[in-house]
Amino acid sequence: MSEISSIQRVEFQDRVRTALNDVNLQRAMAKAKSGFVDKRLEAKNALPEFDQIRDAARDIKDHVLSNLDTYLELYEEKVIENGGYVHWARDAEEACSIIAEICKASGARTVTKGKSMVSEEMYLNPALEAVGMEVVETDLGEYIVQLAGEAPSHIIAPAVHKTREQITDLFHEHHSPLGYTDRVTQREALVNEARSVLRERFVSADVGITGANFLVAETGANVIVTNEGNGDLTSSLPKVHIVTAGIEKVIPSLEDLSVLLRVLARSATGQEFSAYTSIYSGPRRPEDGEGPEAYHVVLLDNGRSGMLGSDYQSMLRCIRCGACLNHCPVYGAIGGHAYGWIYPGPMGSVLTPLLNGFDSAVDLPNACTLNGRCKEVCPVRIPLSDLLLKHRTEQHERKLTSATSRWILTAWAWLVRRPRFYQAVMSIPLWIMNRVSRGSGGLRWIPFGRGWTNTRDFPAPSRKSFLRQWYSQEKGHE
Amino acid sequence: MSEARLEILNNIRKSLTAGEPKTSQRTSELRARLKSTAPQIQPKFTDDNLTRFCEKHVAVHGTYELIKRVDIETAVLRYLHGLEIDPQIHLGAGPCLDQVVWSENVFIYKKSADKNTRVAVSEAFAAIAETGTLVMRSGGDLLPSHNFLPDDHIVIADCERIVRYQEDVWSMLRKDDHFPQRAINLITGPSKTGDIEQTIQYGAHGPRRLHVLIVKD
Amino acid sequence: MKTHQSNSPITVGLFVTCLADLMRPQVAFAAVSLLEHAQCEVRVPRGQSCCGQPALNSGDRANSIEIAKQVITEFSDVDYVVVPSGSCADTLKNKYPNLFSKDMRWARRAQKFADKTWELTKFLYEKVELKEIDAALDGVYTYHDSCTGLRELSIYEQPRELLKQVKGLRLKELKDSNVCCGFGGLFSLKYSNISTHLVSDKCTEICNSDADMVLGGDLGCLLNIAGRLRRDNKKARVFHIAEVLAGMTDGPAIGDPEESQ
Ligand code: SF4
Repeated sequence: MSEISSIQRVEFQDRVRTALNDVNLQRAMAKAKSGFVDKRLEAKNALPEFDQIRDAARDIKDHVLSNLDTYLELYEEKVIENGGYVHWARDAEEACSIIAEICKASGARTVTKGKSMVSEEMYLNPALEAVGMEVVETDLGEYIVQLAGEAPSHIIAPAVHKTREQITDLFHEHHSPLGYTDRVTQREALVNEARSVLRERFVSADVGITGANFLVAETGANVIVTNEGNGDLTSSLPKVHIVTAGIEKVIPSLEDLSVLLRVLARSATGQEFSAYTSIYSGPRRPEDGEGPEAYHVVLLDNGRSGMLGSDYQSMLRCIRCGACLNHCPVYGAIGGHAYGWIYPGPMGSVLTPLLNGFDSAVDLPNACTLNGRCKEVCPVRIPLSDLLLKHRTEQHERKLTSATSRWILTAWAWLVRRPRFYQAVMSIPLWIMNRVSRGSGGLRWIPFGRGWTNTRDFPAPSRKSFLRQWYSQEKGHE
Repeated sequence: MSEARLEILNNIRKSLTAGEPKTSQRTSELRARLKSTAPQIQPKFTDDNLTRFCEKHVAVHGTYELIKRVDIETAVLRYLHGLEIDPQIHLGAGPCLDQVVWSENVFIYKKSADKNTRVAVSEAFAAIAETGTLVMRSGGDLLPSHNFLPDDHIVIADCERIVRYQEDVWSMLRKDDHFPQRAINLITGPSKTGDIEQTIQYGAHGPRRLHVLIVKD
Repeated sequence: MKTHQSNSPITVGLFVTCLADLMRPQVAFAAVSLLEHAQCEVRVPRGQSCCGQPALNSGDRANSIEIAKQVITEFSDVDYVVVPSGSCADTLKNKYPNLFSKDMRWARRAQKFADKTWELTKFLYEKVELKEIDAALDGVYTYHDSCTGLRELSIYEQPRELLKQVKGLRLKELKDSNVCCGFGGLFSLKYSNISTHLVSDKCTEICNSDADMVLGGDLGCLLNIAGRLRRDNKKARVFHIAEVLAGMTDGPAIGDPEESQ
């Protein structure tokens, strides 16, 4: 165990170092920095009922989670009534093979995809490519990272880590063979070029795969929220529409949907409402002039059912708005890829160890200052920083932390609990450090503190501790 | 597959034993909750529906014009002329649109939009004042491709059908014969993306412009 | 909570915090002087050291529980416990009670203890309504809102209002004043490169604000900020708010050499 965690530590620290030194990443993140935050605040301030709606949103999610089995059955019943199919997948592998089967059975060659984090979670693209499908991401950000051969670095802004220059290069490289030989550099031209390339893909795809922001039990519908409209083109044009979603995505009725929609866009991008909110139920009806002939839903568990009833159940309320990422200073510094898996930021640091195993990402819950900004903005009031602390406790109890650090903690706690002895012991280093540093005001090196003193002075400590001064000054001073 | 279903549901139940047990009574309570469709908390606002709709629609980069029922064709032609676009339209359907007798000046397609479609003219099932949102539904001549493929989308909205909140639309949809309609598209402004440098660009995949003709006699 | 008669002064136990104790005793002296100015009888229990955050934030519940019990016991006979730090006050007030979910007797004691625990500026502003302080300091200050105080204890207005009583001080708000400075206790050592990135951002904003000094209510953050400012030879001086309110700003600021002032 501790071996795993030490390898991981090196890997995580390496990724962090790479990220902090990546000039492009730092430029892109600096640009993105305050946009989301300011816009969310503006949207929040414009809606006096915002916090009450957040409470309602949390309550809806809690209600569903404590009745999840029944709501899933009710939802399934409606999907079938609408003429769709529901598939259940225990894990990522099972989900991928179900989807690959559907694609093969429908004779598909090309697949378009709307942005779906759960499909990233199941590594769907490589699985489909392995059975000969050509897979095209259609959300502009996802498309950019697909061209770059990367994973998204943000759950709602997948290419937030890319600069315009990098996107220019990517488009030039990949679109030139399609006849777009001019190198375009302006934002508008880049968007237009992607639009016309992807248009061809939309109309020729055999299967469209989307995620779901919500699944509505009342009507058996999946709800998809986008600004680009790519999710809709993916849902509507191909012969087959496959929806992938985690089992926690179900909600009761359309009225519940309204509550959640009122907090989703505001929290995510600071919009009151996204450009497109679409509610799809089943394949085309006899009276319909268009629409997919088949409609499948693949429900993924992948560890979620085990989170129910645990200390971490509240994490299943997450509506993937990304606000916690946008407000996390650590995410802002290192970007999404440093987290090592597809869910970054605070929500990822809570979720990754739960979905991939506690020993899979020992650093994530620790690489956090517990500043609580994530918890403050989460629209469904997930106590993210408390959950991160819970993870640390879990790690400590499972002995996933290094033996040395545990030993130091125990020794320190022993000392702390003997205050007089503690005061006596501490007086020695205090005196020495003060002697060395009082002339300059700070130390440039302290034992075991290189991490600090490499980049910061360590302010000079006092010659004598407060308590020793207080008690030597005649009890209770004058 | 049904094995997976069973296992997942059992796991959920096992994890939830602290929660409410699954009983047929519980199931019928939840079914009843699905049927109780009272709105929960809604944002208050004082403007009338039309004013609010227009304000919110403009805020998301939409344009609009208030017109009389008889002037639909003229308004469509004027708008297209202003953009120097040929009057070739993919036409939807609806109580207002169906009454229009189109002149020879307009070339009409009654079919799905495709990748080259320039203009679609649709009629909204309803519109939502709260957020400046148009509500489109599928079925028959109502083709969702019209909402997402053209460069320009012109939508007729009957002023009488501008409702206050989303929840009002759900009630209207429930009364509709085809409920739940295969596709319900809530449209709030033209297509856009912020994926390049977090800066908004319009016309990502869907319409670059969204023009609403509000019919008010 | 014990209600007291107006003739017997309220007794306040000062929880010094280990950082003030070792690094900056003047903060504790300042706190004592302010509390006495507000007519409190101040006691400083000898059997105190650290609130246990390093253990708590490392997930070490067992040791945290032992430390908590010791602190609670040590402060059992004062009316209030006052702490010159948002994050330590939060530990005493909000975290201790959660440690005893399996021990009802201690849970009750911890809750009673929590109810009488206050962060210093909150106590001075809301509880004893500190007035007529005799402090003057000329210059423009900016205030660093430490995360835990801000979010868990809603400390924002209190320090700013109190500082209005200091003659000659003007406030210049910091851009992103509510963003973490990157201290985070052991975080600053374990993930020092991320921590450095955050404190650099913070110091850039401080320099952009053109303020002469940075004030705050948590020594951890202030040591971090001062350490970074000094390393970069930036001029802004750093003080704990208690020092300013108590008029104890003649000596060196945090991280400044002793002879300089
Ligand atoms: S945890 Fe909360 S803030 Fe973060 S993505 Fe999920 S819902 Fe949004």
